[in-house]
Amino acid sequence: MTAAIQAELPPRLYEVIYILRPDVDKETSERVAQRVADVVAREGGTLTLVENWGRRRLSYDIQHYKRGVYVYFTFLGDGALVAELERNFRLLDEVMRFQTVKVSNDPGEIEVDAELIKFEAVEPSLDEEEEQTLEQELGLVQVARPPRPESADESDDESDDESDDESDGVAADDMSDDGESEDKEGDAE
Amino acid sequence: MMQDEPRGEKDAYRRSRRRGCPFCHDETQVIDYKDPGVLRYFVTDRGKLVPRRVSGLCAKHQRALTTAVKRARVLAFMPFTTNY
Repeated sequence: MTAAIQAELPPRLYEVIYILRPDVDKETSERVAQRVADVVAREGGTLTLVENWGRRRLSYDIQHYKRGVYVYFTFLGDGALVAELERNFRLLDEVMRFQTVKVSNDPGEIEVDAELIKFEAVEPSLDEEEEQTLEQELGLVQVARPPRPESADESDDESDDESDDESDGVAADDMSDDGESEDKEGDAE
Repeated sequence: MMQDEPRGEKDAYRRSRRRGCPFCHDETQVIDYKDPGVLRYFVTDRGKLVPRRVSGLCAKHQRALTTAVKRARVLAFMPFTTNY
């Protein structure tokens, strides 16, 4: 019964990101990717996209590593395949973290390009990496937060504000702003 | 209110004043856990989620944002906390 119902459902689209230890060599990362492909094929799923995002800095240490190799892939499959994939991830010591997210219940037809599902290992180059991240850090320190698309507008209207209510304190400012804008909308409509 | 009339850029002014949900306003902007650059605006310096009354998001997008931030944290795109 349940099997019959499941069979009627279209395959769902899932996306997975797993993080490998930063010190994995090319062979190991390829082995993991191959295992993923095998599991997906064995359980009757279809890989639709594989991307290697390379070595990235982690926001917090995982297993005492500050970096990790991110690999992203999407596939069509069912819940059993997700469970089997995650079981395999748990068995692999190189995989520090993984997360599966369902993208769509009914993705429709997806054309699979053989090029897109090839895993390309990234050669580890620790020294370069170290320099790069340092530069990035410095860059981050120097560059202030990029303005939100809205905040440009906001700063505009802040300068406009100066004429009507000056230095009321930020909180008071905001309050009066909200009230006014509501009034205005009412007037306009 | 009184500022409304004399201004030439009346429409732009009014639009900027409406603090609507930025994700409702701009459909091209999507909440994605893989894009910590967008999510960063909606957490405090310590990585805590900002409440709706501060973020200005609508309920629907605040919900989506919360999920996205939590997913991003698991994959170390964002910190759970800065205090470790």
